[in-house]
Amino acid sequence: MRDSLRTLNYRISFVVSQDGAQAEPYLWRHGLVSGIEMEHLSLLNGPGREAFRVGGKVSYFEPATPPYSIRSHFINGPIPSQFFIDPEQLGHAYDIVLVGKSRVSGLAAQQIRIISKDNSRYSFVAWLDQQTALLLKLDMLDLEGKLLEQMQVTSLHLSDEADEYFHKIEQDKLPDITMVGANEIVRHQWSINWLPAGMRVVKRDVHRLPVTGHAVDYVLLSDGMVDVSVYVHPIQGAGAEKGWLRHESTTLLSLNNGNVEVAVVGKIPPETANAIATSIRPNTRQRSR
Amino acid sequence: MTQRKIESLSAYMDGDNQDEAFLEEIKNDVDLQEKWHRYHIIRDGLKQELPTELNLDLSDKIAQALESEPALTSPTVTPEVSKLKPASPISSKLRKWLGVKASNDGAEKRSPKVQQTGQFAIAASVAIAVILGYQQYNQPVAEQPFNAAPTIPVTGIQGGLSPVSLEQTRTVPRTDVVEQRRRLNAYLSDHTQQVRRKNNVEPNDSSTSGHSVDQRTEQDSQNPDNK
Repeated sequence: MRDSLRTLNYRISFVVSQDGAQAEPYLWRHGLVSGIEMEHLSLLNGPGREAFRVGGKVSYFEPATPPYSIRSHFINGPIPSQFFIDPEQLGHAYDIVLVGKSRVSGLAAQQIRIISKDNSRYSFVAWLDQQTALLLKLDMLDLEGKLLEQMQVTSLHLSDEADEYFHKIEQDKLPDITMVGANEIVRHQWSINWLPAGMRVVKRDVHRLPVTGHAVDYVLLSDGMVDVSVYVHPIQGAGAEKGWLRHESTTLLSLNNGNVEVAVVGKIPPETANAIATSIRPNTRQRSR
Repeated sequence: MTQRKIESLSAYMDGDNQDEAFLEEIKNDVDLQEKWHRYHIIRDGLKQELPTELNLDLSDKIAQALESEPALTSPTVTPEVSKLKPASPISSKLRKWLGVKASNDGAEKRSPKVQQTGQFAIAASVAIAVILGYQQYNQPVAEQPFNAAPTIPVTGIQGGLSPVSLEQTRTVPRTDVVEQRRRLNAYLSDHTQQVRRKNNVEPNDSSTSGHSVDQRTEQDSQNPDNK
């Protein structure tokens, strides 16, 4: 599947629907143009969102923010593409089970289930095309098996030659890669003492939230399938709030832990977010993980 | 109570002794009646047929308690209510609620029926307060260990983002709502940004800066497919 994603020339239309949200249609193109991978993902409704990947550079064009590029080998879209590119990483966090065969998008498909090892994350059911192993359908299910999010391919078109659309991209005009300074290793005054199996810290830093401007200690966690953000900052005033909500399929949980306020954001069950948030303890002495 | 009576009672329960005279005896003997009741509970217990909630006969005790309770005397006038300033909207609401006319002489003119209504209202509000308090007290706590409860572990956040589906079980002063909404929005949008930048990794360097929007290169913001 990884090879298919990387080497084939394809044009895929798919729809993403989430619990309590509008269905979003996307167009996804991929091609090899003189040895360089090109990829284009476009949201077709509303003002739209576009992402282009040329080799290891991804440029995002979105309403309300200036376009920018980052160094990455996949587009961060509605599909957890990292999984399909880097499936080995997933073995730490999930069990992958071949289920059976069925017909999806008019094609014979192999169904697989992806279940978290410690049952602390949502599970997934994926249908892959038997011939190309491209993703045809992906369901995200909560712990009770209720559908939270669904990606469904509506058309899959393979071609020998890369889509001529890619020849139109003027690479010179893509924004430059945002240079991010190799900043000093951040040591937080607290540590997370419980993580779901297979989840690891991807990065940690201190930055300001875009809207409020509050400085927060930040840790990004990932298990290859879902990403979780953890924010920690001192409690300000009486703004003691405790609770969680679900924005589409993303859980946002915030609670007070000692004298800090912890917020956990990600596509994980609220119980898991709660367990992560409550496991945060101030560092006793210089230990920082 | 004699041994004979107890034995007869036991036999009667088993359906052996069926004579009318003993039935009369039970009817007249309170101790025997209690024993009759207790024996049945014991038998059910031994057969493991007890209902999930044991319905002990409390009717006597309640009747006693009711009798010994001093009769509730309703305060004839509620001077506190009538003294409240008419200007205050809360007090006028309260008056209306208690069935009191807004005028100051309302207290004197009030008919007994109106008084009663007011008291019912008070009783009802007390009951509501009790129920609310009970619910509050029994709300699941956030400190539950993971997976201990399949139910929602914490209470909902009040306010909410406009595009957010919200579970709300508690009220918070209005002033916090806007601020909270901003904060939640900030978390959500920052999460999206951070996830996207996750792999913006410099070669030979695993730590990346998270300085979000402002550090972007803004040069060349033209769309590439405007060929």
